[in-house]
Amino acid sequence: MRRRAVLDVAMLDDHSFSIRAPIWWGNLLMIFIEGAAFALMVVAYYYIRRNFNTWPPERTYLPDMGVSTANLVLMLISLAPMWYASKLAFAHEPPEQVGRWLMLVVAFGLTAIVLRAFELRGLHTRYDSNAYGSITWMILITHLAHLIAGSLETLLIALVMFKGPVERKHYTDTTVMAAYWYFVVGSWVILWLVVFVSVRFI
Amino acid sequence: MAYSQAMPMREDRPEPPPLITGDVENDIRAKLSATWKEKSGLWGWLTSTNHKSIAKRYMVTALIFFALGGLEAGMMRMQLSRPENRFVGPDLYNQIFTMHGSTMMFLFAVPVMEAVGLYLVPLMIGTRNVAFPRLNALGYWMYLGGGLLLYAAFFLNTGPDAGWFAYVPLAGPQFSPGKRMDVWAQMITFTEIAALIGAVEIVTTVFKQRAPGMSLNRIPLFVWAEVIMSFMIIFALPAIVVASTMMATDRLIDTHFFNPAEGGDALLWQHLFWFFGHPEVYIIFIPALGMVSSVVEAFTQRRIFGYPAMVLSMISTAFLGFGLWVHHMFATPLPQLGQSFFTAASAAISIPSGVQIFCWIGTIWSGRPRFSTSFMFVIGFFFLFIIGGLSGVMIASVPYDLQVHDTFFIVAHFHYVLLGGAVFPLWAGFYLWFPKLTGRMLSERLGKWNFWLFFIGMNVTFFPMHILGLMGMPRRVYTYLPEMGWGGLNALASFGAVFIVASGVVFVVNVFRSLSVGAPAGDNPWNAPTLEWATTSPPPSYNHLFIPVVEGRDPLWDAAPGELSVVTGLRTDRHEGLVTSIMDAIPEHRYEFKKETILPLLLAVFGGGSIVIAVFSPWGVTIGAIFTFIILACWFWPTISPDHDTLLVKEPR
Repeated sequence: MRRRAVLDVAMLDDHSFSIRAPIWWGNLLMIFIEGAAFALMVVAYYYIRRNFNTWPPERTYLPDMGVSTANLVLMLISLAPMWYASKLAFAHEPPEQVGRWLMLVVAFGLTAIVLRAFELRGLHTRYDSNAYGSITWMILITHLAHLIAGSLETLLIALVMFKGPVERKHYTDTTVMAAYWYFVVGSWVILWLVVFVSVRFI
Repeated sequence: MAYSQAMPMREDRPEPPPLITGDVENDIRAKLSATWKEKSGLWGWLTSTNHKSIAKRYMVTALIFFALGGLEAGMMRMQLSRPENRFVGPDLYNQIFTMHGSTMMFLFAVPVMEAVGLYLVPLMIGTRNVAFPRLNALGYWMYLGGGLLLYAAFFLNTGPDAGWFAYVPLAGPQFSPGKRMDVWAQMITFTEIAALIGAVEIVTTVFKQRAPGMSLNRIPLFVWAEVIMSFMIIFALPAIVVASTMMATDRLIDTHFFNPAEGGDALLWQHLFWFFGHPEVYIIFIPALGMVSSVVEAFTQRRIFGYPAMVLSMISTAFLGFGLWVHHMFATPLPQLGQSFFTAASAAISIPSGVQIFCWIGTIWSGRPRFSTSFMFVIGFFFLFIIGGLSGVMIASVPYDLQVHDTFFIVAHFHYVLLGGAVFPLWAGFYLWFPKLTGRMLSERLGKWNFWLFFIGMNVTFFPMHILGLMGMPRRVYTYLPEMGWGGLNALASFGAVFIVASGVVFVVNVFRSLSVGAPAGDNPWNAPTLEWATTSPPPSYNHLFIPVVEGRDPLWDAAPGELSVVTGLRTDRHEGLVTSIMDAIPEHRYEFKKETILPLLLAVFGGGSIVIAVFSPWGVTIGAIFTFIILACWFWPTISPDHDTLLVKEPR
């Protein structure tokens, strides 16, 4: 077979951002998968609701608003350093700068993980008390797993930024990490509304 | 912008002449072969991240599980061949039918459909590997782990025994003590991870790595089918993730998701399971449709009729596939309006299926059909799938479904749909692509035996089951009394199974015979139009010598005879590919594929090991998380090699 060279791509860059980057799509699909799992847990939460006369069930206190709202606000604030780190990465700023802002996100993430323990106590139910306890714990623990994974991944990228070797594609990884963190925080807004707010009205 | 610099030109990139000379081709070939050379020996096998190596072992493993599932089916047919048979007892029978269903669905059908895609998609869209090669390897190892777990447990008399859809309360802690259903739930964990990985690979690879010029409306139908299947996996499998996790915790740490005494709900399981389980049928079926299109195009030598209608039909099948899970639950107390909705949705899905059948008929009608084995399997598919589709429309109606629910009529229906609708196209695909995979042709004479034995056996086995079901024979009974009058038809069905087994033996003989004495295939033995036929058979580790440039929907038919437009300028000294835009496949940037490593296997061993621990203790999850993080950190941590020099922003400290 004869081959005709019609296109030379030698001058193209070796990385890119957002919808141009394969890893961005891999991350988005991961978000779809995990988002679908959260959505089904929310469905299960309201499905189980139908089996109880009162919600939360009798002899169960309403979940505490205080600590959960504090944690929500904390997570929302963590979006700012993550957004800024991602902005620096887009602009190919020096790795140490990006790493410092990422470490700030890790600090927020670790605090959120600690606060999650208090949130669980503030549910005033246990996973083995009844189906209400099971589904609320499931939602909080699954999201906790996301907080832990997100914080550790961010830490890892920050360490790469400090220690090196840093390649240009690691800037893409930083922006994709930011997208994942937005998902972790954004999904919590909805889950918080379900577990801590809607319970007071249904 | 201090750290960003334009890439300097490299000496090893040839200046592109209009027609590439043989010397240049040989030079590039030598360089690519050296760069993409797979390590030999056991270590090379364990560390490989080449999509073809992984997909091949995926296929072989899936076919072994198909044979095991078939053996289980044979044992069931043996047991049911006459009334009050004593071949296997009730407890073993329960395990066998559960193993059969779980094996066929989780260890054969979904993996094999993904495997064919993981092999062919990169070749068909003209790229060098899947987007995330290491992740791909992990997917295979996890899948293998799930299969080994299930069968190890089975041979230790701990095989799951509550049916492949594991209904609670039967599968719950109260009625299934012991570890059998925990094994089932964790087998699901393994296989769902594998399936999701495969889906993410396929979507990302197709979206971002198509050859320049392969815009959305030029993607081969098989590739479309694989993308649609992958999206279905991405949205359907989370349901079984959630459900099997709930079941595992109900059994292990006393949660109450499915315990009515504490406000749980058995029907919640059915909703979650079938929200996965029904799309699962289309996850298996849609890639099969893509294979049919490839076969029809190759053996009629005609462009597929109604390409846009075909693509839209597959997409609408996928959407509708998510809206009819409740038709598995018509025998539960559901609101009548809900039942009517799901009846309508179930009947509606026959419309896109019908559109596709007519498009194929149109293609065959106006083409020059060649009745090769591959094409015969497609004809068999039409016949069997239409029968299965018709009985499907019958049971979409609630009153009828209530009559035949849990009878052999259902067994007959879904075997026509799954064997006829998925396995026959799969075999058509094997006969079409085997020459590409191995470089050798399969025997047509043995192929015809393979087809006719399978086709006759399939009908003799499963058609009588329709009648048995109408006579009231329930599924999942290990025996029956002679007075029921079911003996004759059961004996006939069991007799038919002998043909299917014989057909399987003929296929295996054909494959091994061909591997040693089969006629050499050449690059494109069928004069097929898609890009996988533009490279050698079997393809080299880097797939295409140059990334092709696509000028039409059927690239090899649209190009000037014997000529291919190609891309130059990719680096040959590292695993480099081309990333193109999602809609029009315009080149965007170059991309380095990760190289081979042992880490995916390590992650599967340690992560998988902790999933097995999770059968016995919730601490498995914690242990698994720690292992996973450590291994992923090594996986992610950048390594420095001489060919990275121009990309470095910062030296290692």
